[in-house]
Amino acid sequence: MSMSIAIAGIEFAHPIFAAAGCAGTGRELPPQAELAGFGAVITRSITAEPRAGLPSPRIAETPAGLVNALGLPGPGVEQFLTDELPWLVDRGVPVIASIAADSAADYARLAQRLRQAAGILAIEVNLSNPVVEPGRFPFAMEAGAAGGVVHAVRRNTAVGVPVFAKLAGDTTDIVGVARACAGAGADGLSLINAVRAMGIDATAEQPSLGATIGGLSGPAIKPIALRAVWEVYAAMPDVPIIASGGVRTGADAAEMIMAGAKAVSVGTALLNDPAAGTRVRDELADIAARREGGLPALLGCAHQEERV
Amino acid sequence: MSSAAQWPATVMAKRVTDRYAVVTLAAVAGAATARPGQFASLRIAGPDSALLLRRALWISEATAGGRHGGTLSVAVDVHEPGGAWLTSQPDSAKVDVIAPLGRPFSLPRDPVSCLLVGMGSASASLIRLAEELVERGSRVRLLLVGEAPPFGVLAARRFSSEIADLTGAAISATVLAEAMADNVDVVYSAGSAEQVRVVAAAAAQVNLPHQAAIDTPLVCGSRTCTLCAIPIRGRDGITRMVRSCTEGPVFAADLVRWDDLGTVPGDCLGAAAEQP
Repeated sequence: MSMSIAIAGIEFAHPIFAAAGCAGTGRELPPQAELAGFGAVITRSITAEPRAGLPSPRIAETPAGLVNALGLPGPGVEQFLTDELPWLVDRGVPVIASIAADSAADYARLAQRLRQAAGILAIEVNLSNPVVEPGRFPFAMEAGAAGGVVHAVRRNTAVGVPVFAKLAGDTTDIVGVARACAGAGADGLSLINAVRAMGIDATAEQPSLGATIGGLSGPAIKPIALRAVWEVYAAMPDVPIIASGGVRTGADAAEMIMAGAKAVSVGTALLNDPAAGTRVRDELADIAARREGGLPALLGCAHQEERV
Repeated sequence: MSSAAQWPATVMAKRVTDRYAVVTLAAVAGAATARPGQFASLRIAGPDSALLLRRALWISEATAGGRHGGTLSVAVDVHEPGGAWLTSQPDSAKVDVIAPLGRPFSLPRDPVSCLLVGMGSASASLIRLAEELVERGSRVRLLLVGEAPPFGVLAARRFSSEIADLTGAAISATVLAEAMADNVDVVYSAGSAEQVRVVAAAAAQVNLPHQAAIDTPLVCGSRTCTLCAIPIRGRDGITRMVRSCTEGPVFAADLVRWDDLGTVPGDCLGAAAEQP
């Protein structure tokens, strides 16, 4: 049975993606992880300049989750283009480039720099990095700010290369932000990023993370992600959604699809089990095969008229 | 970039000694290529576990092939939740293993006089190192330190008669200076960053080459994150945040910015762009 899907005109072999920042550069995964076995790999968020990241500790284990504050470490867009992207493309990996910047103008410049790069199927605009300077908020917290960035990226991205906006699960009005992004030209939405959170190291009597506040990911946030997907799909069923947040089994992915997701990203689960992508894909294929109408019939199927 | 393989291994034996345990796993695909200083990454509990971080554990012994299809022994801190889970597993339980990971110790070409300083469960990484150095004709002296009886004393006795067991002692500059004054050519150490740092200072004082295996707790162990990054000054003079799980865990100690561990130094590549 076919598992292929199309999002904004782009065909993907199946709907299980690697979430941004969770597959490294791709090279680190052991052979069993089958990088080319993902429907798409969403890269870690590419920044204009190299970034060293935040002080350690950068992660803390919490019940059914991880809080992390990495600070988007990476070598910057130039090394991505000369080294990391060609390596992925050579291996037949479908690449979605995630980008992050400080301002709409910087996002625009980054999009412009990626414009001519061969092998980028789509751009994911990271509007919801949970780690921000004190007093600031992620772009995704406010409809106007989010829409402004999406507009800037869309204008600087080639026609035929879809732009997806990655939103935050802890926004007051996620439907309002989603509408602003779609109105500004987003071809799809990625829901959700890690949720702003922190830990306390009780022995040391101080925050668990060097940066104090980070993002909570893993199964702990799956219900939040499901709610976000549900609300946005109910309001805007024609805008494709890539769901992420605590998915580690095919059944988790199926739940996201039933809530309204067209594709599902596996993130934190890859840290626990680098082979999780292919496993989730196979488990989802089994679920779809048992369902009359297959995978397409699962999309949004939990939205029964009487419940909406 | 590595021969590391992910594999469902079988718990074959457990030896618990006070605070530490050695867990031996059979049917580990990557066991044949494991080198001293490398580690294994183990998934803690099954697919539904609430403990999401894999544990990076030092490899104390490795055998290739044979009846058990390659075995790896790893050192476990039984007071840590992941270590407690692992040591509670019955024989024949399945555990998801990725191994071997990381950059190993480099061995000298010619026989030399070596001082090996091991602290805590990281001492496990020195046991096979000692064995290989002795096989190559080197003189090996071990200094093993820990709160609990130091890990690996019994195993190490097979390879060297020069072992100082400093149970209950903290590593001290005086002890190190004394040990290093006794005709030492090369220093190898393994322990937490704070412990290894003391060894690095002592070795630097007398200008001895020193390779340090740095124990970074709670790394993802799957190499896909950047949680274990530490500041390393490259031979080109540029400081970079480097993952100790891939470029380490063994580093030339003179390249580590010991005073800046836990921070991102201001002159580090990419440090200027701190927040998006």
